[in-house]
Amino acid sequence: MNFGEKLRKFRQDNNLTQVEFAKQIGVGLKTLSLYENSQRFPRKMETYQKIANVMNCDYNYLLEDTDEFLARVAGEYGQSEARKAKAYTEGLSSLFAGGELSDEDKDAAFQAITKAYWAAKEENKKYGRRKKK
Amino acid sequence: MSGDYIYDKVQSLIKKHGSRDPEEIIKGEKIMIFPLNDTKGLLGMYQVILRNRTIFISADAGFQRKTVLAHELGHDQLHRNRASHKTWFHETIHRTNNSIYEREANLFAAHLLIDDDEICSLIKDGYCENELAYELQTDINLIKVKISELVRMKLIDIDPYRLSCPNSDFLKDYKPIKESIESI
Repeated sequence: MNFGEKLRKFRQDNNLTQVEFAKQIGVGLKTLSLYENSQRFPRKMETYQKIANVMNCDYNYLLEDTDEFLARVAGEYGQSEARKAKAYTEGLSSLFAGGELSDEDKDAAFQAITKAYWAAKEENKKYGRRKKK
Repeated sequence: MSGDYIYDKVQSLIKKHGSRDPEEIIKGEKIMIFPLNDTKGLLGMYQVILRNRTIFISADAGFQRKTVLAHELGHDQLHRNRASHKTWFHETIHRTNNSIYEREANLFAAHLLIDDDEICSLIKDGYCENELAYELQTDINLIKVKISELVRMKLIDIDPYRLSCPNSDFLKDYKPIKESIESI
């Protein structure tokens, strides 16, 4: 179950309309609709925190592995780097959508890719231009 | 991509590194290798991550390791530009638009792992495909690929109708092996 499905399930279990739920978590109606259809994701961790407070759960429950990885990249290198890193995870998930890979294999592949990403970052430091002080 | 181009590419690579061992070539080319732990169906992947060429290989690949590494090295040499974040090469999912790339990578692996003169002399001695695979310690499907390519290049003379060429996605059927120490 991904982030959007979790939101929708919670909303339907509690008999809330999208308007009411959007007001509670403090986002627009359109935004909530996009969240539920997995077309957009909250940019800030605070939004996750807010939703978790309304839903009465830990915000780690809302996050997927990929979200955590992207949040860490965004924190260390900024949004533009996060967008590039997202391309890797997206390519991965679209490929896995074929459904021939088991969940364990997906996890293993994703772990290896995050590891490779950080190693690549470290490797690239050798070649970059140093900042002038 | 023609077969001759792939053949020349392999020959120049062997000349450059002085070895047929894919492990050594990968080390020499400065490609990063990452293990995939605990995979059930996934054997290997190739991807360029932030301008770093990266090969992922299952830790349980066992005796298939050489074959898979040679195959991924083929992707590296032949399809590096296509392995941007849009395309992924890995050995479980067969997609129709990828199958030509898989075939080329298999051909690359066959040329890399099997020496021309060695296999030609063995064929002249009358070895069959199974015996060849045992003698050269290579995968049987790679042997088939190699023989059909040698016939195309007119290095050996066999009736083309007797050949059997495997599908481009034969690696898909291979699974990682869990080594059971208790059984020994």
